[in-house]
Amino acid sequence: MRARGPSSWLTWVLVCLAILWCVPLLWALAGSVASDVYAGRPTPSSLTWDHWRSLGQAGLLRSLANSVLVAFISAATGTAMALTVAVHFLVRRTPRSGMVLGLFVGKLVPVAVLLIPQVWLLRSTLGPNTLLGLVLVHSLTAFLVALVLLVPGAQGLRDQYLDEMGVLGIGMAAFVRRIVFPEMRTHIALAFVVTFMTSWSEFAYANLLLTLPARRTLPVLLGQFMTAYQMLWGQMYALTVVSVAVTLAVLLVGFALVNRAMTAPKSA
Amino acid sequence: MRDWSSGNWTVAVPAWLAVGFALAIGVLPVLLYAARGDLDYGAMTALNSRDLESLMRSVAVSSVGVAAQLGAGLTLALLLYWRGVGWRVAFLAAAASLAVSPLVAGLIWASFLDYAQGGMNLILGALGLPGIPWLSGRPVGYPPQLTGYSELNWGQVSTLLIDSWLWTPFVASLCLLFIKQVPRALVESALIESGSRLRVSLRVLLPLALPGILLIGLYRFLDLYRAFEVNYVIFGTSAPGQLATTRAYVLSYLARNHTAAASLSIAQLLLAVPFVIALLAYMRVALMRTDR
Repeated sequence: MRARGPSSWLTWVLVCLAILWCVPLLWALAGSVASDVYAGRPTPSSLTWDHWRSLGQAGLLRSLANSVLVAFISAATGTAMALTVAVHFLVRRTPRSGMVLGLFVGKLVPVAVLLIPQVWLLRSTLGPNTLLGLVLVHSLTAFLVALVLLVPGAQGLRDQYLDEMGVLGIGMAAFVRRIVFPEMRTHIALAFVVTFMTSWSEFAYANLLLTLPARRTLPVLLGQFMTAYQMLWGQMYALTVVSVAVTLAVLLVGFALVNRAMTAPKSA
Repeated sequence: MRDWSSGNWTVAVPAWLAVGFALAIGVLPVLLYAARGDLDYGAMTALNSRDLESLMRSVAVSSVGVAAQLGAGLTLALLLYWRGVGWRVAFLAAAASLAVSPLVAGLIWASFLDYAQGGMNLILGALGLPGIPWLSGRPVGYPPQLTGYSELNWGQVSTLLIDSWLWTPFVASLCLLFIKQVPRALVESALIESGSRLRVSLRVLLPLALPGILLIGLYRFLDLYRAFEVNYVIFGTSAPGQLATTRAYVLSYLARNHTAAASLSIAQLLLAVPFVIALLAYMRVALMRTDR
């Protein structure tokens, strides 16, 4: 029999927390349709869709496409690279913590040290306004983030499977396909989502690398609404709502696809 | 028997290529830039006590932030675990705040926390509570005996609040992921044995998920330690030293003098050495445990 007491109590606590958590997002949603947004505060005098209409003129669809492209490629590349390193750790008997440490220390370096040299090198080698430059920088970040998420999962597989696979004489490719991918699907999906989100909302590099309107990502487009003279709060709020909605849609579809791929019957 | 321990090139080559990529994009530009003479790390010797205080403040604020986020995240993860919520649902909830660019989140919150016009003080006023100067450097006033870098002010509380809003759902979903890896049979037998979910949480779930939780804590510490956008929005580029955490302070240097910013950044990196050593110790213990 299902225990109704604690369950319903927990549900209410979680629902209240979720509502509280959404207050700033509701603030942004209200601001996106309010005709008057003074100092960022939406005034509910009348509703307007003008902020949303002006997004189209500002190049919303192009920025959205650029953001999806950069975030998807960066997340896929970074996660794939991290997976190869994680599998390498799994196979090696000697722990290579130094290798992880060296990469992890990369996260300690303040942006002030890296930003200008990286932008200088990418602009001088690839030219200005190339999405490839941003993909390279984001892939590095994604690699470091995904590594942290994938290595513990890969280490867990070592005790379970490695000896048996070695005794059976099964090759590395089969081991990765039959054991690593199915067993680590949660970690891989998690790493992909986290790295996607990291790239999706990155502003500093994108703002310096992409200045042409045709190459802007969503955060750079958002930056256009913050000028030295005024803040276009309505447009900024509308774009924030779009950014959140698209992300949730991408994640929902992504989870559904991953779930279907992982639960599909194996051909061999 | 196939001996994989002696090395397997099909795995090693892609792994080292990935590391080579990280070095090429992460380290090479700095070396080339330094070789041009554009970075003068010798300026580090000119760091004064105000700079060092800023670094220590960054460590203190980051530690408080990580403790708060881990505490809230773990509690939330346990609630979700016992409610039977899957990690995908938790992650979708986390994505709602993470989808907002930190810069924009900072701006939304800055308007929401504004003393006169903000929604937060409106809510406090409706509850009969006095307004709080969220965006100021006024000391929180507790604990009153602390001064200097350890004295928390409302601006720092606001940065922690915004960062927690952005990251706590994510921390909770990661904690949930690690907690869910504890074998279900073990949890059910412990539940029959003790009869209390709280006891099972404290004595079975948390100890077994601890390596993962520590990793999340270290990861969030590093992120908070070098946080940029939220500090930038709250404190701006001309933040006085006694208010700003390191990252905003570095940026205030960067606006005027890149050399000084770079030197302070290197000092920030060096200050992180104890945490790197802690990480190394953690990795060694965790990896050795899996080896056994």
